[in-house]
Amino acid sequence: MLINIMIIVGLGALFIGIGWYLSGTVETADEYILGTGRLGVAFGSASLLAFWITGNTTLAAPESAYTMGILGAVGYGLVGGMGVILFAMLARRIHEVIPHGRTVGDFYRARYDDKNYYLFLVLLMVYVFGLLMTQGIGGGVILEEIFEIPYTLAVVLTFSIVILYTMAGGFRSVAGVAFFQILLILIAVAVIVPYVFFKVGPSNIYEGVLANHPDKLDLLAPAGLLFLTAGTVMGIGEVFMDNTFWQRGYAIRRDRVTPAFIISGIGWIFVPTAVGTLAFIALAEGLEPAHINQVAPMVARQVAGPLAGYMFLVVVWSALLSTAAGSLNALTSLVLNDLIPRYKPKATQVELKRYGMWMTVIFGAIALLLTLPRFLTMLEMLIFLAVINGAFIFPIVFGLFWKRMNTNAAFTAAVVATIVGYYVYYTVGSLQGLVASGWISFLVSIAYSWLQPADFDWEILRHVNIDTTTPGGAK
Amino acid sequence: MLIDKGPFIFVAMLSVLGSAALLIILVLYFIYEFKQREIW
Repeated sequence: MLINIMIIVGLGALFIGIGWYLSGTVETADEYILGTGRLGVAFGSASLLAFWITGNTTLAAPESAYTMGILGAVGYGLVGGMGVILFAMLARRIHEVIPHGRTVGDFYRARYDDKNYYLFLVLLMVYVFGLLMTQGIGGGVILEEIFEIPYTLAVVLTFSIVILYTMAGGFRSVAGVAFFQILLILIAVAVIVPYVFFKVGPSNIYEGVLANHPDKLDLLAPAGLLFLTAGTVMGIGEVFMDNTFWQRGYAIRRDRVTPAFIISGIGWIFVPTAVGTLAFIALAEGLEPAHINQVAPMVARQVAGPLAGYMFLVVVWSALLSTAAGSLNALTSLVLNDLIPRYKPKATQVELKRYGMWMTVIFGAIALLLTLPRFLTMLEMLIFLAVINGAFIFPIVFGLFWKRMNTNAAFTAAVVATIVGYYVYYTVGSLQGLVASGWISFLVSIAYSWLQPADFDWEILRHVNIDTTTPGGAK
Repeated sequence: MLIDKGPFIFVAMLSVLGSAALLIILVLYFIYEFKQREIW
């Protein structure tokens, strides 16, 4: 246990040092939210990947391969990666139609009316805060169950380190540290997985699974197909609604935004799929983990020894921190850009940046306190929140591409999809609730707008944030 | 319909090679953009 804590504290100190070093030139609120807005592909892709490869990804992907077989392994990679690849198209369009935006809130406020904006803002903040908590809860449980670090200590260490490096330079610190975190994750994955796979032997693994669990090799398994369908709605909904992706859409320079998102999306497909393949070794060899989410580190340790176990800790820990830091910074940026200027219209950029630093500490501390009771599981929370994500997919997509998208249609679609989604969630099943939410969002948006088409003037979006120097467009 | 051995091993190897390629791409982009002063 002591060596695991030392790894965490050592890595944490390194990340804090890098975060503070990179924060040196950040002076304004704009820089705190977006950096310079001219991020390249290296840091842009790394910050996207580091945020989206969560602590859960590295453990739930093998879990889904272990329970759903080949469809679970490949499906997990595809559903998350497709959302990011599709966002590449959105990011290009976002730069075109709302070139001076900073957050998803800027788009929603200018494209629709107040009722849409506040509904979206409230539900988005619920989602972002929920996501932040899932990282804390998931991280604490993972570190306790697998790496024998007490839950409370794990949660306190996680949030303390995240708060310390995120508050220093905001987005710049988060994106810079993410580059080193993603390198650690990729090096560990590229070393551990092939080493373990070839030590057992690819043919032995296939033959073992075929003999012990042939159903895990079925390409038409119903559970796997449902996971693929619901997971697609979940992945796309989360990516399209999450301010973290919008922030990066603006933070990456315009000519690099498409390659950065496509590299990240395609790259993301490989990482959970690679880690997921470890589950087939457990199935082939008849290894049974004490808890199902421990399957990948268990295989790594049993086949490749304790060093592989420590490398896996580095993967999980880096993934966990980068996602928590991205969520914390996205939440702070949203409030700093969309709410604070309404109440402090005369605040200077330097004062707003100071508010940003304080909010990072406060939101991080609240998330830490809410995480300590451990009152729900990570996956339950993610699926619950994904019903909200599904409801906003089409108000966002149609709002960006279709001038006939009606303001009332967006509001009705979001409300009806959320209500029906949760009804199905509780009466039929959680994954079915996600699918229902996505479909209702699509049907209501398109039917309402065809019956009562709007004629939106794109110039309104092009003028967002250019009449003022303060975030949020406050005058 | 069960997946055959060949495609099964191909998927596993592709995911590992893809992760390694991603690592190389990010490092190469970092070096290029660092030299061009286009990191930030």
